[in-house]
This record gives sequence, C-alpha cells and structure tokens, in this order.
Amino acid sequence: MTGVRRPQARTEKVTLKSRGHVVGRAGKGRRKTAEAPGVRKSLNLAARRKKVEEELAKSNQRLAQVLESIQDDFYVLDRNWNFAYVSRQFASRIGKEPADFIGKNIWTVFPKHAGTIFEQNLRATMERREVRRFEVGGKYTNAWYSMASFPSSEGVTVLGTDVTKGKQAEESLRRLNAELEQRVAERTSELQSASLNLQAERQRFLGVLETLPVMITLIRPDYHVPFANRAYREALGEANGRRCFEYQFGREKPCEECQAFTPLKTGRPHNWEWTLPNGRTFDIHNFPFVDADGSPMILEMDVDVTERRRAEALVNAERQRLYDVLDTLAVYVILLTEDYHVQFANRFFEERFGDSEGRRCYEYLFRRNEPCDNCETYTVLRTGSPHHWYWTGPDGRDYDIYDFPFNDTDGSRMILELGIDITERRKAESALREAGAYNRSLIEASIDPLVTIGPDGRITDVNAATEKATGFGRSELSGTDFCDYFTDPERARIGYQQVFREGTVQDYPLEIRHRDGHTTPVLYNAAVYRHGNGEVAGVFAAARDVTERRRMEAALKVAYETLERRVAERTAELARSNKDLEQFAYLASHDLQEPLRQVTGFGDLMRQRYLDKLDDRGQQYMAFMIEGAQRMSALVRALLDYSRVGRSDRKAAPVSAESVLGSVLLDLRTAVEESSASIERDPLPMVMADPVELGQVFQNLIGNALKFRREDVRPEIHIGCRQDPGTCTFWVKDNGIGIMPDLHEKAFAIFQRLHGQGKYPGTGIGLAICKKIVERFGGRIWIESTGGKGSTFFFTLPAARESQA
Amino acid sequence: MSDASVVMLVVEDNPADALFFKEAVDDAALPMRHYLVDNGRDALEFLRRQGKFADAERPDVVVLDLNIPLKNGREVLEAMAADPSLSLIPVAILTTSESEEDLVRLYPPGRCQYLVKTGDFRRLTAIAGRIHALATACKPVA
Repeated sequence: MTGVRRPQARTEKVTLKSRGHVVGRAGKGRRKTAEAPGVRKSLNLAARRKKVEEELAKSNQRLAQVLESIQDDFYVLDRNWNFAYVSRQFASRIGKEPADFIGKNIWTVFPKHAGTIFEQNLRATMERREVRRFEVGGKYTNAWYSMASFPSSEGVTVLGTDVTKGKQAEESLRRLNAELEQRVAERTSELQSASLNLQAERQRFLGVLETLPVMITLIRPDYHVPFANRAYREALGEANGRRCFEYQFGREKPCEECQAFTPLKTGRPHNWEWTLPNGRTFDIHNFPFVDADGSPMILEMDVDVTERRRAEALVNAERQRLYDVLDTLAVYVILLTEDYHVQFANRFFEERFGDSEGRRCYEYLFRRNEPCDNCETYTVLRTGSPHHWYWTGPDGRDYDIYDFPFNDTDGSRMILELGIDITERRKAESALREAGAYNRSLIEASIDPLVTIGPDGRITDVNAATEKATGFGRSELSGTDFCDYFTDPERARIGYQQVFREGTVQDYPLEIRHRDGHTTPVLYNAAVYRHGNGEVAGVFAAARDVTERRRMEAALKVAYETLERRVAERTAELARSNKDLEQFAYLASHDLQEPLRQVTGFGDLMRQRYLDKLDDRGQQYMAFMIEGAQRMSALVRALLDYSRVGRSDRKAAPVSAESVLGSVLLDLRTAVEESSASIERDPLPMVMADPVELGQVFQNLIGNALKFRREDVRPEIHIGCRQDPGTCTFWVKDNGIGIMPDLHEKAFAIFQRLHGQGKYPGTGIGLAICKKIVERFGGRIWIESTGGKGSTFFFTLPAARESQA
Repeated sequence: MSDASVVMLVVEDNPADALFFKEAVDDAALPMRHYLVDNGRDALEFLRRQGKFADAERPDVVVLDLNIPLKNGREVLEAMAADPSLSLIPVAILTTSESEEDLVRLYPPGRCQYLVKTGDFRRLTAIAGRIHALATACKPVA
C-alpha cells in the first residue's frame, strides 16, 4: 500500500515543500526517493488504457476484415417453402452445391429450424409480408448469424450473415472491457485508500505541528498569516483574517523592530530575539519559503526563551553574587596562572596589595625579577594536590595560605589561592598560650586537689594537689575512674552525675583515699565546662581539704552544745529562782499583812480608847508607830500588787484600749475633778493585752500626771496613740513637773521614789508595775521629758489582728 | 439572850484577829452573840453538834477565816455546801486574801459574802453590820 500512496504525494507538493524546512534534510531525501516509482506507475496505467483502446480498434478492424472476407448467406424460398435460390457461399458453407437445395423444402432440409425463432420470423415475413431481422445461433453451434428476411415476389428472401466472429470479438471486447473496468475500479479504490492515508498522514503531520511546543507560522509579505500552529495561536491569538501586527499587537502599522522579513531580502534564514510587550522573550527563526503557487513567504519558528533567559539572568546574578561574596570575604582569593600572573583577585587582595597591572606576582608584590625562594604556592602544580602553608606578605602580616589546583574553563592549569590574615589570631594564640601557661601554673599552685572528668566519669586532667592527695601520679590518674579514689565510690559517682545533670554541685562531701590508705575529708565544688559549641565537655571539680575545718566544727559543736546546755540550765535556774522570788514576794507580802494589820488595828483602837491617858510624848510615839505601820502596810500591799502582775496567767487577748481608758477615767473622776484637770483623749485602737492590767497602766500613768502637777498650773493631760504595722504606741502627756533625763531609767525601778514622802506620797511601785505589765505583753515603756516642762510616757503594745478583734 | 439576837460561829485561829473582831462587833452595838472555834474540823463538828459540841447552838451565820488549821476554810465551805442541813446557814468569808473571791460560787446564791480583813477599826465595825444584815436576811421565819 505504501507504494500506492506515494504517487498521490505529488499533489501535495506545496505542503511537502513547506515541510522541508521543518523536517530538514531527512524529509527532503525521503521525498526524492519516493517520487520516481510514483511516476512510473502512473504512466503504466495510461499506457494500458491506451493499449486497450488500440486493441479495441484493432478488433473492430479485424471484424471489418472478417465481414469483408465473408459473403452473406443468401437464399430465396417460394411460397411453399421450397428453395428457389441458394448462394454458393451458403451451400459451400454447408458443404453442398446450391443445386442440392433447389426445389427442396427448407423445413425438410433444416428440420431443426422448425418451431424456432427462425421459422417464426420467416413465417411472419411469408404470411404477413413483414421484414424481419433477427439473430440465430446456438449454444451448441458456436456460430451466430445475423438474419434478415424480406418478403419477395416468390416468397421470402433470406439474408444470413455469419456474425460468429463478430460476436466472438464483441464478447472478447466485452470481457476485456469488463476486466478493464474491474481493474479501473480496483485502482480507483486503491487510489482512494491512498488518498485517505495521505490525508491521515497530513492530518498527523499537522497534528505534530499543532502539538509541537515551538511556535510555527507562515507569514506572507502582506503580513497575513495563512498558517499558525497551536503554540503560536495560543501565544499570539487567532488571526481571523487580520494581519500579524493587527491581531497580535493591536497596531495599525507593522512593528518597526520586526525582523521576520529579513530572509526575503537575504534569501537566507534569519535568527533573532524579541521580547514582546507582555515581557516574554522569543528566540525567532525565520526561513525563506516558497508557496505552491511560487509566491514567497516566511516560515517562522519561535521558541519561548523567557524562562531560559530568566534562568540565565539568575545564573548571572548568582555569578555576581559569588563575586560579591568573594569581594566581601575577609580573606583574599586569587587565581594564579602558571606564569605567575594574577588572573583574578578579590577586593580583599586588591585592597591589601593593589592591582597587579599585568605584572607577575613577585614583580609587583616584592619587586623581584624572579619567583620568591620561600614561596610554596607552585608546589601545587607539581603535586596536583592542595597545599597549606604560612606566608608573610609584603605588608608584614602573617597569612594562612591554602592553595588548590584549579582548571580554568579553557582547560588551562591555574592555582586557586586563599589567604587568611592570621596576624591577630597568632597574637591571640600567643597570648592564649601565655594565659594557658599562667592558668596552668595557678592550677598547679592551688592547694586544693583539682580534677577534670569526662562524661564517662574518667579523669582527664589533675593538678599536683590531686597527686599529693591520692598518692598517684598524673599519668596513673589520667583515664581512670574518678570514683576509685574515694572511700565511698558510689557517692562520688552520684556526685559527678549530679554535676552533669544540674550543671553544678556545692560543698559535696567526700573522702579521698590515698594509696597508702589514709583519707582526707573534702568538700567538692564542681561545675560542668563546655566546648566552644556549648556541648558539655566535662566536669571541673575542686576539692577543699576540710580536715581542719571538720576538727574545728566538731570542737565548735561541742562548745556550742555545752554552751546551749549551760544557757538552758541557767535559764531554767533563773526562771525557777524568779518564780521562787515571785512566790516569795507574794507570800511574804501576803503573810506580812496580818501582823501589820494587827499592829495598825490595835494601834488605831488604842488611839481611840486610850489617847487621853497618854502624855504628849506618849501620843507622839504612838502617832509615829501607827504611821510607820501604815506605811509598811502600803509598801507590803504595793509589793503584793507588783508580784501579782502575771500571776493570774491571763493571756493576751484583743482588748479595746478605748473602753479600758473610759472605765479608768470613770474611776479617777473624783481626782480629776478635784485637780480641775483637762483630759484630752484620742480614739484608741484594739490591742493585745489583759483589760485589768492595761487599766492598771493607764491608772498609774494618769494618776501620776494628776499627782505630779505644778503648783498653780491646771493639769492638762493628753492620751493618744500612733498605729504602726503590728504595733500601737500609746502616750500619756502632761504639763506637770517633768522628770530630769538622768532619772528616766530610775523612775521604773521598784520602790524608787524621786520625791520626798511629804510632798508627793506614794510607794514608788506604780511605774514598776506599768513596766512589768507592758513588757509582759511584749511592749516597752519610756519617758520623754525634761525637768519642769511636763512629761510624756510612751508605751507600746501589739496591735490586735483583724481576726482576733 | 433574846431570840432576836443573831448567833455567830466565828472560825478564826488568830486570837488577836478574833479579839479585834469581837471589839468591832461590840462597838457596833448590835444584838449578836458568838461562839469561837480555831480550826476547820471543830467548826464542822460544832455545826453538826458532834463530840464535845453535841449541845451546841445552831448559829445564824458562820464567819469563816480561810487560813485555818486542820481543815481550811475552803474545805469547810465545800462540806457545808454539800450538806443540805448546813447549806441553809449563811457564811461570811472574812480573810486577809483579796484574790479568793471566787469561793462564794461554791455556796448557794445569796448565802455567802466575801469580806476582806482590815486594820481600820471603823471599817471592821461596818463589816460586823453587814454580817448581821446577812444573818437576819437568811434567818428562817420562826
């Protein structure tokens, strides 16, 4: 079938020609080889047709010759169907003489004709005088005659022409024709099939063109676009009869920058690049192209290279960034050629050493005429492997140099050299070394055993003190288990694990065991130390020998305990003796009351009943006796009052100082009225105290203020309070005689009187009782006064808390 | 001795105090008679008419010192309070101490007074008056 398809391709020459540019040389070649057999076959068919026609003509000619060469059968029949005349031709054909037939009845001579078309036609002529033309022949005779019967005067004239050969020729021609027809039909079918295939191939080809991701189009010089594949249409739209600049760019005139028609001028393909207004860039190939009708066209093939150009721009940017990086680096980077030229130098290098200006490195760096003796850079070319060395530059600075073999893109051998300025680092390292040595000397000088331990618990470093404490040398200790050198290895392990876990331990007690068996109690202070990256490198542990401290602590503890015990004993003794004393004072004052009362009672009774029986001296004696007994009674009573403070075991409770003061002032009403004193009182808070005892305090202080008034001065008494957190400070201020500062302390002593009995009577117990009461509740009492200017008595008591109020 | 007079049992071991009290009672010039015992045990036997006190007169009031031998004043008071036949007799506690006033609660309400001894004869005379008043107030109607 492929053989049939090809000739048809000739009609598609235009398409093929346009295709030639697309598919290239291979397509062209295929077309050439395909053309020859197509032509031959086609000629064959025409020749054959002609031959058939010639054969047909020849056959007709031959028929004419046969007709010419044949004389018709001719005979005449009379009314009785007897032969009247017989042509020789007819007779000889039958193999007889014409005379043989004359006078004989035809139906007798040719009985076979009786009842046939022959007889019917002849009878029709005979009886109805009709001319009849008919053919006779038989399947079995292989002979055909064209017959004609005419009515004649005698009867019927019969003309018979042997048409067997003509018939045969006709048959042969008919068969030939049929064969020809069939062949033509077959060929037509083949041609139709070929045409369909060709259409399919064309469709396929167009499909390929459509599918290709490149944009393909044909442009006519009048800017019309007769063909554009899908990629093209998708990119630039459908032409719909418009010109390229119209439908693609909405312009009224052709684009100035368009170079698509260049091949029309040069006759050669043209390649250019165009960035469209939409920002996309195309690589455009234009080819000269001749249409089927010979008109010139442009075949255009566009490739969208936007992404590629972007990628290239990125690569360029990347390259630029690389250069920027190189220029930003605080190390120098150079490329050296084999002949000592600096082919590339980054900014660092150029800033340090300037531009080589085409000179060789040794020339412009060191002003030498030949390579430097100590330069190791070019060993790289010999060995082919990287090289690291140190170099002192012309600027006198030290550089760490890394040389690498480097092949340039053109294959030339070069050296990539990195130079790092290590001048500062060297200085730092040197300083660090010195510092390290200094630190080490400090560590070694430490009297504390110092040790570092790795995460596995093994000793990594020790100082001399550790050697001394353990009796093992540095090399013996290093790498061994830290815990092995303690009386309680498990405790040591827990200790350093705690350091790794928590970062530090303080004063962790352990006992170092010396190899000779003696032990040293120590307190370990340890902390983790870290690598530069922050990872824990190990534990640094410092042990402090606490043998001496332990001894001191033990001694101190004994001393302390002894002291504690003694203090406790003494305190208990004092408490007991205090209690005894209080008990004594109470009982003494109580028991003294009875005999005193007996003296005063009977003294009183005696004065009533027997005073007139005594002389003046006796009366005076008795007066002194009674007065003494009464004063003693007052003193004993005061002592009893004093010893009673706290005896009741009444606990401190929230008390309203306001109401206590109120009832005290009520009790003192008479005294206040008698002295016409003015009392000013502030509102008082709740305090922690006992109401009776607090009343005693107010009573004593206000009583004193009334008692120790200045002559001819109206007493003015102010009772106030200041509240501080947790504490209330009360005061009783008067305008009385005041107390000299050196007597302030004395005023609170028991039975201490600051004035003669005659002027201000009293036992001197009041302020002592106040002090005892105030101190019992955790407060204190004091005086602010100077002689003659009044006194202020202050005392503090704990404030009552809210919940207790 | 008329029936209208008040009979006191004074329980006091100090003869001076006993005399001083007697003088005050006399000085008060009230119709009062008194018997004197000097310890707690005798006081209870007197009240119960036991032993040598079998014929003792039933007192209208007991004047009780607390600090007394054999049985102290508190024990006497408790024994009287516990005895229905004695708890009707009013008691005047006359003592040196000022701090045992709570003892009155041991006894039926209104039948016990707490009085503090004094060396002041006038005041003691006043006390004798109060004791007479207590006895009179508690005396059953004959």
